[in-house]
Amino acid sequence: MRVLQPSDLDEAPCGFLVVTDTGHIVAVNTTLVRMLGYVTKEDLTGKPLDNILTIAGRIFYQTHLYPLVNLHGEVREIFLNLQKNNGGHYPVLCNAVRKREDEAAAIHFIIIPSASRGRYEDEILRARRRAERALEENTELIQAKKALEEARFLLDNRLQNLTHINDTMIQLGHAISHELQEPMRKLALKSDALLQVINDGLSPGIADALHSIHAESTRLRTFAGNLEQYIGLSLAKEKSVEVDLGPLIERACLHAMPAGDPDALVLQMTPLPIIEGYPRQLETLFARLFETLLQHRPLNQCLVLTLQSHTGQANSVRQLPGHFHYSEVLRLVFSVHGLLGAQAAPIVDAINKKIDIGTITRYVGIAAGKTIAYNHRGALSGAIHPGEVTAITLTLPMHRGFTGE
Amino acid sequence: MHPVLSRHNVHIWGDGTQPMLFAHGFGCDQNMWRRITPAFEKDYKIIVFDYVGSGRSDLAAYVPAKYRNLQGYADDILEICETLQLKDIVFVGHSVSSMIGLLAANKAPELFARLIFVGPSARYIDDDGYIGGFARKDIEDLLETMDKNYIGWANFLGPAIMKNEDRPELARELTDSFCSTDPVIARQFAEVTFYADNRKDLVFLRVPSLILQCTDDIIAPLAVGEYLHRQLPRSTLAVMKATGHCPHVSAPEETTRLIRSYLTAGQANAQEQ
Repeated sequence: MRVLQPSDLDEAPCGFLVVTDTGHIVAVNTTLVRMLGYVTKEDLTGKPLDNILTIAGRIFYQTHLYPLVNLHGEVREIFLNLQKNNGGHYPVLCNAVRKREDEAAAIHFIIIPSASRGRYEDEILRARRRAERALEENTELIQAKKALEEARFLLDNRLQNLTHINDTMIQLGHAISHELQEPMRKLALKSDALLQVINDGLSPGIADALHSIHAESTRLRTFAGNLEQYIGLSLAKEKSVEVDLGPLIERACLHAMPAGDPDALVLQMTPLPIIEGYPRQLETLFARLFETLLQHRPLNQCLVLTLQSHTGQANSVRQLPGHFHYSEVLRLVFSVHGLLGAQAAPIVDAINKKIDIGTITRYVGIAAGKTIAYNHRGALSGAIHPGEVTAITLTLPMHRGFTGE
Repeated sequence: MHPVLSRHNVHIWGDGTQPMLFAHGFGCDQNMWRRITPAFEKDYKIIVFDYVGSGRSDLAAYVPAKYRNLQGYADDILEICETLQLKDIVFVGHSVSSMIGLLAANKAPELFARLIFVGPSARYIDDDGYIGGFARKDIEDLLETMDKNYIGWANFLGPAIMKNEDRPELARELTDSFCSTDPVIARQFAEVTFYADNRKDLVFLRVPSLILQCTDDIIAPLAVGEYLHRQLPRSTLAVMKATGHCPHVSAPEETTRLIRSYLTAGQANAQEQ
């Protein structure tokens, strides 16, 4: 039996190290000094721990080792690459415990060289990576095949549905344009002619009735026109090209401006990138959006639109849950100043809900905009911020990718 | 429990109404916040969670195609916010979670009141005229270090066994020894984190932010904090006395004090307006 001597630790067959909470070395043993190629303990004590860690070791210390030893009190069998005095790497395994000494906490380490074990582990790692890659490729392949079969089935189903809906829409479109529009046009024409004839005011009752027939048929014509246009957009075929959004939005703005009121809409925007898309549709989208906003502004009030844009990533898979394909998108955020909450709320509501007949009747511009966004695999959304600022966000993919065109 | 909440092991408590959402960084899980949250639980609704692949999240929900990208992690945060109907959120993100929070706030700015970044960096690797602090080789070495630390058990104690219901003591011991439970996921998280470049996303942030910059943080050096402060509109930079990369673990009092005074000043401004 013998009493444990201080020299036992100093020359133990493992390195020993005490580090403060702030990452400074306060004690080392001779074994560690020699391991790392230093001459005296003073070369290390008082110095930052980072001096004996490689850069990767420093990251690992900060992200894993330090928080773990701090929260759990100890860690075991951690691999680290130490940095030797001559710059070389020195792979080690270490255990550490956190102890409170006086007021401050300190971390005690024992350090065991693992160079030869490291070479063996390198071999295992290489083998493991090969095996993992093979397994991953195999699993991915099997999963991809299964997903493809499911997707094909789903696609076929959807195509069948879509073909049916498409046929119906085309028929409906024809019905509207011919069966509805034509008689209404004739009705309006006849009522116009009659109005001319009885302009002298023979009977105010008849004149009133005619006026209301005229107004109603005009309203119906507008609705039929809206519906036809909406259906037309859903079926639109256009080739996707590079679109310079800035000038396109300016054109749309001019187009939407009410006659005789060139100051109704003030548009402020910063330069916009070029994206791939359908230019005619996009111009319609912006024009119809601006028109809708203008129609609902307070009387004689001008609208100020600030457009901010930024790019980001978004998952472009919409229909298949659990599938992800992140690609670059452009977010256009229109901040609308000048609309009152009572006018903005139903517009924002129409933007955020699914298109229904009410939207087509009252907000055909919004229905059109949503359809065009959808044609681009993009999205339109709205929000009202404090201070009655309406924000409308249009997300568009930067690139078309595979469209099946 | 809602599937999104169980997927992320979400925990909610506190007496306040305004949500304070804490997002952990690379290498650990929601436990990292346990020295910070007590200071705010009287005044806020505290929400903590684990990213998929970390802590006690649902490992089966890990989809490589989604998490190859920080936006995938940001979309998860937005899903948590949507599920809990959170609004007017104070977001606190450590390390890589700062940029994840930024991406979330760029996509849905209306949800966030303040962003607090603890040790943020927009890019870790040096680039033409930009100092991130690391060379590509350093990051490769880090991935190697991570691989070696998982080698002891990763081969035979893969995630499949760890989820083994009839050996709970196994899972317990592993989660205690390492916060990131799945080595393959942890490695991919490291790659996504350290190879990410979010510099171009900074100028679009519309939500006011606080940058908590530590002294002598080798992962996010002062130059990076100053860069972020220059690029981020409406940002406040606070250089801390705390050293290292984890002030919320090593200096919880200073961290709490700075967050609190930033939030109090923000409230005073809001009242003036």
